[in-house]
Amino acid sequence: MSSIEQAFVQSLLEDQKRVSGRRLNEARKLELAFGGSYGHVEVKMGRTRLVAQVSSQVAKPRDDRPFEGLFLITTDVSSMASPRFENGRQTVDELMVTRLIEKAIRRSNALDLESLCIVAGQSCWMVRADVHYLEYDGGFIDASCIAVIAALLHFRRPDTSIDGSRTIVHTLDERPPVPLSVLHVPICVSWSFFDNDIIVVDADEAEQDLRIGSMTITINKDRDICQFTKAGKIPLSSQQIIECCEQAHGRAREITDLIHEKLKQDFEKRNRGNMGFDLAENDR
Amino acid sequence: MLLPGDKIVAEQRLGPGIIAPPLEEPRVVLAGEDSWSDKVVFINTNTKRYTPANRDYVVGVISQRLADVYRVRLQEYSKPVRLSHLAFQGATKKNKPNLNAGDVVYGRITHCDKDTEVEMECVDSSSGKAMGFGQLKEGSIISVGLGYARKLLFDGHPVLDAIGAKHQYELAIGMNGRIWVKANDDKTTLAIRNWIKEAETKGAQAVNLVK
Amino acid sequence: MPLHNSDGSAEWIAGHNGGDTRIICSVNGPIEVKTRDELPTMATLELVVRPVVGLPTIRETLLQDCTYGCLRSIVLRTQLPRSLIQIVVQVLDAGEPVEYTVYELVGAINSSVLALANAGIPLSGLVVAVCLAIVEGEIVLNPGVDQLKKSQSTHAVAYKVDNGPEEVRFRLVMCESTGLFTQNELLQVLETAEDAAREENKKMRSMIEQQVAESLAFA
Repeated sequence: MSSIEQAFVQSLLEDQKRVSGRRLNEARKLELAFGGSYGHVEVKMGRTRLVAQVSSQVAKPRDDRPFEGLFLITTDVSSMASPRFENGRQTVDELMVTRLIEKAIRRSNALDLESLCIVAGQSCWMVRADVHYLEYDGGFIDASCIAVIAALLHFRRPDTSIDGSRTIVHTLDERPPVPLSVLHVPICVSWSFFDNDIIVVDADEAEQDLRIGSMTITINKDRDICQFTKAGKIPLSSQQIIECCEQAHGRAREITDLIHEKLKQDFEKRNRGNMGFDLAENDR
Repeated sequence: MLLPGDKIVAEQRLGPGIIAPPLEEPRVVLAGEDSWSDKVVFINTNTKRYTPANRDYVVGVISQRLADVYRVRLQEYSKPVRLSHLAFQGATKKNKPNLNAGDVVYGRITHCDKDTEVEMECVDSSSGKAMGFGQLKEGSIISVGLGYARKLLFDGHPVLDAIGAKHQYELAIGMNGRIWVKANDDKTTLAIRNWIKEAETKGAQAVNLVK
Repeated sequence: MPLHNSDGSAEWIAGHNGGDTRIICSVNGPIEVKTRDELPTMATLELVVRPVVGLPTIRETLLQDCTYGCLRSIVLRTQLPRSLIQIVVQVLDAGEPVEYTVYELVGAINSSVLALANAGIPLSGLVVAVCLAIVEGEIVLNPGVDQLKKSQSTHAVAYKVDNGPEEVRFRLVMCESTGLFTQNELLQVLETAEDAAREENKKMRSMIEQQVAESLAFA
């Protein structure tokens, strides 16, 4: 970024303004759309755009955790998002996204792994979430988290039953597919810090390049803080952190409601006049 | 409208977007509108990535400072071009401008062919005058399509006139799709940026946005 | 919806019902090339195909190689020596079981041709690809998933559009066939494919023309 562009962004911020026209504590509008298949969701935050796809397959559980299923998240950024990302090579920023999403969703137990067990020690479901980045304009962490959790909520895995020693995976026509057991909905909110004590929420690309520190809080509707990361050597008072948590909770509530609202709309559309699932059960 | 692979029959000189391989008929290689004049025929496009051409006016960012040349990046991730320390108004071995990485310059391409390194200058080398070239200070830079940038530079645009009627501002248009804008305060600069960008998709209608 | 960070982009939606396969492609270039990849006389063409589920496997390598072969025949690489043209094909919805690759291959080729034209990369012409299967002895254009599963062979066929002096001719650049079929059947497939390619060419032309008209809206 050129020095005059840096100076321009910084001087706008000092005037409590942003290039995008947003207020300092105003996040971008979130757009969420589900695709034709289960577990496909496209998320747009301003010009940041990504797609998450959740899929499942039967696998063998880990030896040390025979009662648990497997859950994998991949977040590979290709040069489609921006030429700044090299194909097949991970930069520090990308690693940060991967780690944070891992912490926010997997390690906060958002997905109940024990419910994915089919036969203890022998078979279980492996659920994977693949995130594809289409356009970059900052805020990959916040957007990825929303996309993965929305895709998990949207996904339906095939039902299984056990017949003696055999495990039967039923096709979608035989039995209605079952939703995953999602225990809570963690939402990430990121702040960026600039010189002269300026704090900005949901920074775009130019602001991210210019910032001297950042903080990401993952929180759910029930006020559980799932993850907290602060990078850069910016001293913050406890009062400021509490305020940020309060703000994050507000946003988490807003986004969780939006996800549920969209899910409801999507399933109403899917099930309109579709009695196929009931028929399958009547036959038995 | 012509597309890659389409044939074209022309008496005129072939401009950008048309290639005549040896012993073959000329062929269109870009997708765009064909534009005909008495002397030249070319394909008019509005793409994003710039490839340098002789005598083009450009806005660039210095990416590296070496012993006697700067490397100037005309677009992010593009190959940088050379800018001699002496290619400024009044520059001598002893007295030359002191620019650093990140500084912005306005100049023109002087030497360009596809097999050697591209060069630019920030002075009119035939007269030694600045001709408006040189370092750009303060203000802000926006990115637009190359076709739109050419249109703004050569024909002007109603939106520029509308802004000029209401505000005082400075403008440097690079044919590499970079436009430098500077008004009296940041607020106005930001507004002008947005108006110019709007006009790329909205055309002359964007005039109504100008306040 | 174009991708704003890429120099060119295109989305390709195809399939039996007209929308089972969804593929998005981005093109960046000509940009600066790493010294180790630099070619003194021509542009380096980098192509990556990414699956919707999981990490790229040998299957994506196959898609990549076939697509690369088609693109190499149209991109005028000598016009842009010592530069990089970076193409990323992202499958968003495969629309076919993992055992099959026809739809994704056809989508990868068509979307990258559209994206290259959108990016303003000099091309010697357009390539169009179509997808067919032989199901119970019948040649089916754009087979559905059920038909694919029943099919004895699948075919992805690509033609280069050659605007000759009088007529538009279609030159075969790729024919990827999987399964069992006779020589006669293959010749029939190629014949059907050429007619389908003519239709596809019209569709692709109008897509490019519309996109060019939109980009020139500033005038």
